Amino acid sequence: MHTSLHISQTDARPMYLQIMEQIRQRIALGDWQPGQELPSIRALAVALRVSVITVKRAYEELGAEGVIVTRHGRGSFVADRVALTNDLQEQRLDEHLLEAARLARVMGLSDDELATRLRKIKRKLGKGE
Amino acid sequence: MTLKAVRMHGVRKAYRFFQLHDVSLELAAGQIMGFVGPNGAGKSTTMRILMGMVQADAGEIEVLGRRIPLEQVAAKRDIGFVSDDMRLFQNATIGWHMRFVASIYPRWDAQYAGELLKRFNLHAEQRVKGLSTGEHIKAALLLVLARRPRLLILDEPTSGLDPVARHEVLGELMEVVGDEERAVLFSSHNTVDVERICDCITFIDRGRVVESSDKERFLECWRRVQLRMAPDAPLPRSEDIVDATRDGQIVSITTNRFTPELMGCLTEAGATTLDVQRMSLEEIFVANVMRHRGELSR
Amino acid sequence: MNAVTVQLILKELHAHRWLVAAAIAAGIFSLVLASTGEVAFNIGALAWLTIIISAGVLLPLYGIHQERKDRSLLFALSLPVSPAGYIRAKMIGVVSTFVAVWSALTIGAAVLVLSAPDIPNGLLPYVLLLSGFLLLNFSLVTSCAFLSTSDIAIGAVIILTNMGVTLFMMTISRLPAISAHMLAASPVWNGPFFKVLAAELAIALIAFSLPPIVISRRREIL
Repeated sequence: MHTSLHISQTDARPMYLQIMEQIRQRIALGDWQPGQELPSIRALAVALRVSVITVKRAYEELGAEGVIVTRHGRGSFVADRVALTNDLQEQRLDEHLLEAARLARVMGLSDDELATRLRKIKRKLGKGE
Repeated sequence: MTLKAVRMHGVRKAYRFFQLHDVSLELAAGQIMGFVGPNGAGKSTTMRILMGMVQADAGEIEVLGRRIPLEQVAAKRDIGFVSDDMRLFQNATIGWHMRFVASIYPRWDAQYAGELLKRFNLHAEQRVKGLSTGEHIKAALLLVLARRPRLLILDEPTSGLDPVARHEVLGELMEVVGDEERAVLFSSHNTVDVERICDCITFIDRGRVVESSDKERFLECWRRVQLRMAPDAPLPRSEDIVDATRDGQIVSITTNRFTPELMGCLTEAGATTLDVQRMSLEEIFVANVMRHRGELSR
Repeated sequence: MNAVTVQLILKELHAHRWLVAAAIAAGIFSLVLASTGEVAFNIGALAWLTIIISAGVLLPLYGIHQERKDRSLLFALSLPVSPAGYIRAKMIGVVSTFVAVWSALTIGAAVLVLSAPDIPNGLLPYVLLLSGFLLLNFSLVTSCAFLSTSDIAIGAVIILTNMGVTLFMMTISRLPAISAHMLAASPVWNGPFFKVLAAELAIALIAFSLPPIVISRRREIL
């Protein structure tokens, strides 16, 4: 099987998260339509050259999020109603904010100080940097 | 119940300077198991015992439902074995080996063998004597892959390969488990390969199995946590903390059971969490082995 | 015999096909040479002897000793064959390769003795006993190559068996029951001849069957 998905070894995130994000992206862009069948876990594992258990985990978590539906013995399908376009961007924003929050904690910044910094940066962005 | 590809229980083997202690392993059909350990940990000995090449002193061994060494001839019809220190017959060509193997195994797939020959950039007329290390390993792999065995036992199959060849070989291994009935047991000290393609992992060190579990569980349970604590505050004693180092207010702990309970316990002890880091399989392996050695010497 | 055993025996014959062909060709040539005159007879006979001895040393050395050093044993044992089954197939393969050379040259020598007008036919029993001794020597070197991994041990056995050839020729030609008829017009098949021949074959048989028995009792053969 050929797949356009890929796994990066320099990406610090675990492989199952990389797979989840790429599937979400394809669904959000509309390349993978609701009801469309996903490649089988094993076939995708072979194509990506990653273990079956990793792909299985990605599918299970996407199933829990309601992005895909797995019918036992019949395969996995893109869920009928998914509003992913915003979800996807929101999720990416959350990831960056999480990283910022983490750094702030290491630096010992309070919540207010962090918020002030964010406002400052937004203002800078508004002036066209 | 599905048939186990490999079942090994309480296997012992003593040499003058090395011992296997109660080695137990289980590998289900459809899975790839990574067998990871430092040099001299007992990986090769274990694999040779599975092949009936070396007899264990004690323990039960079953491969594809056949008892080893008693029923090894029947078992080996369905096993493909490649080891980095194995050599094909020096004076014969690759083509001769292909005909030789084809005449022994009825399931030999000549078409697939031809494809592999091209993919691995080998030539049937090449004499084994003149092959490079990488070419030799690829030739040996070709001979086992093209007969589509139900179990592959591979001892360091990627260690002599350049990055491109390694990529090709790992790809072929993945093709194997595209079929749910087939399984792969492969040893390596390259944890990057193992982390990528294995479903379950067994760590071995100094003749003992340190830990055996599915890969996702390993990656989910192990974390390095950076904490900030008053230098004189005691660190809570917990089974889940594998290693801890303190430098001023900064405490760095390694855990093999990253749970909310553990984090709660740390907060109660007055620690602020600065950072939680995932660990690569290599880091997990080293931490695991060091802890194990520490326990043994105590 | 199963398919693997047959293939392993064929592999042995295939691996040494050039050695077998060269030894037989050179052996026949030396026999033809031996039939052309008295000096030529001595040279040809010596060449014939050397060729069989060489084949009997090279085969165990390359077929068994070197193969173990090459680590292709690991490959052979990965095939559907037990360690004992492999040793048996290997033994049959190496022995049949040697026997191909040995029997061709023994028959050739017998034909030469019986057909050359200048060579008395009475020499035939002596030639056959010498041939039998060469088979015995091969069996000892082969047995040693299987049982010992040491270069020194196998080297020692090769030297001793070679020295044995000269000693054997001297002893046999001084045995009255054999030497008395060496120049006779027709071969004399007497009791001492059959006793020596039987002893040679018996020792060779024991030497051939020892490695499979001993090695299958070892816990590992790698």
